[in-house]
Amino acid sequence: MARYGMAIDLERCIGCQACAVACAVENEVPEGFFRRRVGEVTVGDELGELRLAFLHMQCYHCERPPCIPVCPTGATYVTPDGLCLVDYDICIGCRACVAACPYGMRYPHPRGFVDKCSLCDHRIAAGRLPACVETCPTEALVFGDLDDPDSALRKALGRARRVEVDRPEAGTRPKFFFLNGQVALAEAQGRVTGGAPGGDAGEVAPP
Amino acid sequence: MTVELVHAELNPHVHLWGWAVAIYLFLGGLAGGLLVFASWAHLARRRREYLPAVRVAQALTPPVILVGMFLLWLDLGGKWRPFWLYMTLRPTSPMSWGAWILLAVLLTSSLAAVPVYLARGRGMTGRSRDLGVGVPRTLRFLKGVEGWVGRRMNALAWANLVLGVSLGLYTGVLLGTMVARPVWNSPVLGPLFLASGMSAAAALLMLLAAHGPWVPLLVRAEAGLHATKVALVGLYLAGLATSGAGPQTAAALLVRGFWALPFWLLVVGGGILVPLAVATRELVVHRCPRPWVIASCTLTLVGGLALRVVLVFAGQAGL
Repeated sequence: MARYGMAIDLERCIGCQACAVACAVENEVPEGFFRRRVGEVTVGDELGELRLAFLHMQCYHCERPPCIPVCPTGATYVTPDGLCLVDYDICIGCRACVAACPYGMRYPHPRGFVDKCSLCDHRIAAGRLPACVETCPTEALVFGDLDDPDSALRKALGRARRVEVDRPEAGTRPKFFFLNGQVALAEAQGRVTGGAPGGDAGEVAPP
Repeated sequence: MTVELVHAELNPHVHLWGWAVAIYLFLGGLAGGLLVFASWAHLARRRREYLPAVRVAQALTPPVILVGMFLLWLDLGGKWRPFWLYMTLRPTSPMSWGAWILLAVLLTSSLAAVPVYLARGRGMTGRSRDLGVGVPRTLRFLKGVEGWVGRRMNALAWANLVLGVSLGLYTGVLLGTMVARPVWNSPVLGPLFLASGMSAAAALLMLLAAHGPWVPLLVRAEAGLHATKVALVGLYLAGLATSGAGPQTAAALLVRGFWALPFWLLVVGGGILVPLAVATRELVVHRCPRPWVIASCTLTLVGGLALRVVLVFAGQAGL
């Protein structure tokens, strides 16, 4: 059994959106919706010092996912490999999971079910990387098994000077890590309005 | 410091729950309240005394639940898959509990209503005991159901009492357990929705069955329920205001933000304070002009609906 996760090295990310495009094409995501998207944030002050941050938004495949217990039919579930998936045949489109996700990473598919990033489970099953990871031209996106010390993900986490997860206070234990951000994640998300820029809100010890 | 988000258009507008769900939450509470009244009247041996009002409550409950279920179905993404709700019971999912409660309560409230519908049918034909006249041949099996129900009215009344309270509570718990939505994430919403549903039921009964020995009881119930709602709304806002940044923003949204006007005007003022004042006056001077009662009851119903609409939509702000 693996414990799959992902990371984005923000020092390498150039915000080209190739990952979002690859994801949409691979998973036939309908127009106007996203399984993965990248927001670009400029943080500046009056002295003209500008810093750039990229907000990578996709399902974080949390270890304690709040979307799972609220599902009334059992359509959304966690695989033994730690992937949080949706069984589209059983999903009735009630959107309880959309309401429960604190990150807003699920969307109601026009065909009547709820959809989200599956970490390209069909590609993982075939021994391939998720489409976004394979496409990334700067190798900023890293995929791997958190339980395998030799995996690319564990190595990237080990090398990183800064490791953050989105809103750790939510208690969801995301398996998607933001590495080496120039701007603290909470600050880039606009959730920190005071205090020293570059504070360490959201910073976690590598798993 | 300024934070500028480029590609903001990448944040899609996600439709979560709309007007259909808000109306359903109101109808669920209303049906729960009607069931509680009718069941209590039976168990307290007041059924005969309160019969016209009990009949109105019992006759209205199944159609109210059916309309609510239809609205839920309208809001579902997968219109042809709702049967999956009944292939499992998920103890951690309030929606799963709600689906089973709705099915159970539709069954028990319909059974309890069968004698009322048949009595109505007989009343229209003018022949007190002859079911054969005025009732279609295909529905004659209902006479057997009536006999079966008649022998089990006590058990049915208990079932309807428990299920009615469960229905009213769950509509609030459904929202209250959503940790990610600060406006909803309050344990007070369950009792608040139950109290609101019961006061809406009392108001509806006072509108439809205006004169009789049940009116003083309903007025006392209204006064008590509105006072309870004042306390629960206060606790709800205090709970939000004394929690973290997210809940504080949520409280501000209701108290002085976008939803403040309907919240104070319809939910608190019209839906609670005015009817509380009218009911208190009735208790003190023992009479009240009928237009006042009509206005007060209408405001209670509008306020109950507004409570659900405001909370459902305010909870999705910033999604």
